[in-house]
Amino acid sequence: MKLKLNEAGEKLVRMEFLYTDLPPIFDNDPELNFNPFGGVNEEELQAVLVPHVGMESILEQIANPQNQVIELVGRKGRGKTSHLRLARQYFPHYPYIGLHRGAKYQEVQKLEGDVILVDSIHHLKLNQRIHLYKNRKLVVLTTHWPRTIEYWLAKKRYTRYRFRGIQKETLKATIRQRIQLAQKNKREIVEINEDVLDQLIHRFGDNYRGILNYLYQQVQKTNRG
Amino acid sequence: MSIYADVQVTFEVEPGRPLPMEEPINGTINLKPKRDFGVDIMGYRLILEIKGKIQSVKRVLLQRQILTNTRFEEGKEYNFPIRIFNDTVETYRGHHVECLLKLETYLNLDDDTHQESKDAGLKARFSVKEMIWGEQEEKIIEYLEFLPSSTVYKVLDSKIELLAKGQKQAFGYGFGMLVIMFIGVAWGLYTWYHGLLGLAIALSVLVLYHLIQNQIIGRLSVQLQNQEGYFTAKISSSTRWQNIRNVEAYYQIMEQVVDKRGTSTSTYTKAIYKSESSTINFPKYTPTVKLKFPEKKPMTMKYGDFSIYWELVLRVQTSYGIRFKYIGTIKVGETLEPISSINKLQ
Repeated sequence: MKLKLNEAGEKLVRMEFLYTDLPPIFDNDPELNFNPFGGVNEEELQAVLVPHVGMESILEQIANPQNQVIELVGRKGRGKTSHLRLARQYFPHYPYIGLHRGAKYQEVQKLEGDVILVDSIHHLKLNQRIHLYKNRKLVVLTTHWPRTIEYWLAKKRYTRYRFRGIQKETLKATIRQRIQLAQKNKREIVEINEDVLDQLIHRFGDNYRGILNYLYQQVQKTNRG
Repeated sequence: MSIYADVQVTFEVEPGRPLPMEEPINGTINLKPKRDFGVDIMGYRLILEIKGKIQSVKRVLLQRQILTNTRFEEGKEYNFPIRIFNDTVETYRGHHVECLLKLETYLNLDDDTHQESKDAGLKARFSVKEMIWGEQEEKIIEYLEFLPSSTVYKVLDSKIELLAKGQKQAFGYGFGMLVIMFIGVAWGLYTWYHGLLGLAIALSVLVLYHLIQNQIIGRLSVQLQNQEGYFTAKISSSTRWQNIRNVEAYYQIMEQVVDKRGTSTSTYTKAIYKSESSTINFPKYTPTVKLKFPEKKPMTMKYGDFSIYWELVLRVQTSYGIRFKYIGTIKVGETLEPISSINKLQ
């Protein structure tokens, strides 16, 4: 019984931690043109993305396309789409499509070429996905779950890049680069609070988007008083 | 910040004041070269950018070319008159999104300058476009604050049907109760007899809820009419208000963002303004409420996955004390479409 009470107490402490506001991520208070933690456009992507999964290898494989699927796999918010968008910048002549709920396969079929970049492949039906793998030389895709069986059914080789885990330094660099992009005075040095970084990782794990969304809300709250 | 020149943009407005949206604004681009360089083209763009928990949206509202094939010399100073106009959207800093307006001064460097920069390693970082596709554009960005001097709201005169809110919640509670009962029976906490009795109660509550809503309140519709400084809402009920104690009316301005970044979708909705409410006790026929417009709040707009919409809310209380909420969307101002401000400057 005592043990159960302790567990409940620990749970409460953890709950309190989860719902308590963290101190600001900046030690100083930089003047910003916009909130640095929102979505970025194509031009800004290269400046803020800190590749944490073999980006060079992905680019090399796209540059020398083999008959295969390149699978960028991981849970939501881990950076799959950002890496795919960055890859697209290097190969703008290859078609790219971001799929959403209710996506029509005809839209994908319309895109010509042996190489295709597809964000959120899970919005296509199984038979459509297999058809796609079979009919393109190289498919670079993002997915939440590994699709080994589908590749086997389509008799297609695959290379998998798993998006999981988080390095404090990568997160710090991402935050620093985003702040620099939004800063009014680019020369001003912004100190990032290391303790807050640790707590963000503790709270959100490797969910980069979760962290950025939290920081977005924190900056909005500060700016709105 | 550019490695080629210091660029400053000034406008003919009182310093520190936001730029007005009603008229064209004159200004000057002041350019002081840090080294000799040449451009194929120099010009400026007024850009609307929507950023936040959203896929960033960028739209060029106006683009003007200033000069072509020109060489700038270090130590000299150059001034170029500019003229901009924006009646599209004001600067908006919301909860989940920001509408930003920026002036981009662009310098399309000539081949010699680009090569010199590459050879001398002047730039610490070339963009992917520059590296691979040889793009040679240097941009200097200045963020601008636009605010209308006065906002004239206009509600579209129209009849709207209101939809009852809370049905989903009621269904959710009922369904939740059923699940709990089913688990209870499966675990042997209750007998099937108790389970069936509970099921009957849950279903009765749901049916009663719908009956009260449909029979006592019925369908609600509102006729909107625009007035100066306010709008009126004439409310009609298909049951002619029998057994209704009071109706409270107000409107709220909602900010909605659909975050489609990455492989999942999330929707964020936040009320950014709630008007004062107006209450009618024991309504008869078609009661009319008068609702004052706010001061300096955004009108209806939609840009990609970001929208601002106004909604009319009616809270109806029956003679039995049960409250129901009805909501309908009202259109205020013009839904913003991409416009060519250039036309207005000509």
